Amino acid sequence: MAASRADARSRLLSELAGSPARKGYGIAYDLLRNRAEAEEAVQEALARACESIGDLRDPAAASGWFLRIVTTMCLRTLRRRRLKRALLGWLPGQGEPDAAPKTEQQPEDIAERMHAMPSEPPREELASRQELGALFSHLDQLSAQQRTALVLRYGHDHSVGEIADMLGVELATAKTHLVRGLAKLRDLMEEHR
Amino acid sequence: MKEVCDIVAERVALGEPLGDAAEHAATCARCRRLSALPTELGATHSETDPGIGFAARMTAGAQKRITVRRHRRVAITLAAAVAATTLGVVFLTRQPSDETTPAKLDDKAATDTHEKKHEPAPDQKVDEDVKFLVQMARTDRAAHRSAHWREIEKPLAPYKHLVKGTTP
Repeated sequence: MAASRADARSRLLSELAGSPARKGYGIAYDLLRNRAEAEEAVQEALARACESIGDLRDPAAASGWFLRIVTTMCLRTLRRRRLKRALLGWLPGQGEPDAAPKTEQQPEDIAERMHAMPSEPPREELASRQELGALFSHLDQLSAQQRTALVLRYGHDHSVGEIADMLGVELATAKTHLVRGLAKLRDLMEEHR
Repeated sequence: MKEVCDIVAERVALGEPLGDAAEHAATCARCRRLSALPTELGATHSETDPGIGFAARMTAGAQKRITVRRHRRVAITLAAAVAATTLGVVFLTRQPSDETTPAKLDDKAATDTHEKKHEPAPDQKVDEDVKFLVQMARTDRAAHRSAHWREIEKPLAPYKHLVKGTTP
């Protein structure tokens, strides 16, 4: 009994560590914008998936189930990051709440992204870098669920139903996150300009 | 009632055609800005290469996490079992406090009885020595370490005779 369970666990692990893990890493990286944190989220999701293998009723749905766990891990990391920022903001001498994590995380990650962008004429490239940088910093100001919904919808082309499933919320709630997230992002970008 | 801007926002967010709101979306600056956002958000996605050995790294990391968590679970279960056992043993073998020792309780009961008996019926005089012997005869009290043996001042020989049915 225990041996068969261990076998099933290792089979699931080897199955998920391939393509689903890469897809999960893509989502985690787009949400967290940090390689180490993205890898950590995927590893944690793999461990949790293997531990709760009993919850998986349909083996064919393992990939989607795994991506849902990855999203949950990312949401947790985003919330923790936000809480950390809030706590740092309360401490005297820490300055603006959002300032510390931004300077800590963004340069390297944005640089990585910029490197991946197709080459453009210098002036346009600079303008698009600035635009993208602003977009990332505005995305940081959205709630974890709004941000996840937007990234999954427009970055990874998931349907609203899939987003609801991955966030673990009702369809109507997922729609609300999308609409409010977009509206808030627009307002933030208008303020920036 | 929803404003046209809200309808545009909802349709853009859900990827639905703008329909009758298209005209408004073309003229309203805020709606134009909102309609451009999905394209901009699409640029946030990057095909990030996780590097060589990604699958192996993930597998090893996950297995390590599973092992660490299993060890932690075992340790927590053991600690809980040890704590429960210790509590049980302490509860079963604990010494009753001085206030609740049978001797004290008996003394107190005896004092109460003594007082009650003295107040309403002075004729029912209780022989103190007999009462003491009765207390001594209680095995639970006599076996208890908290019995105050040193406080017994009278020689026990006369009482042995009494127990045997003879008078000293």
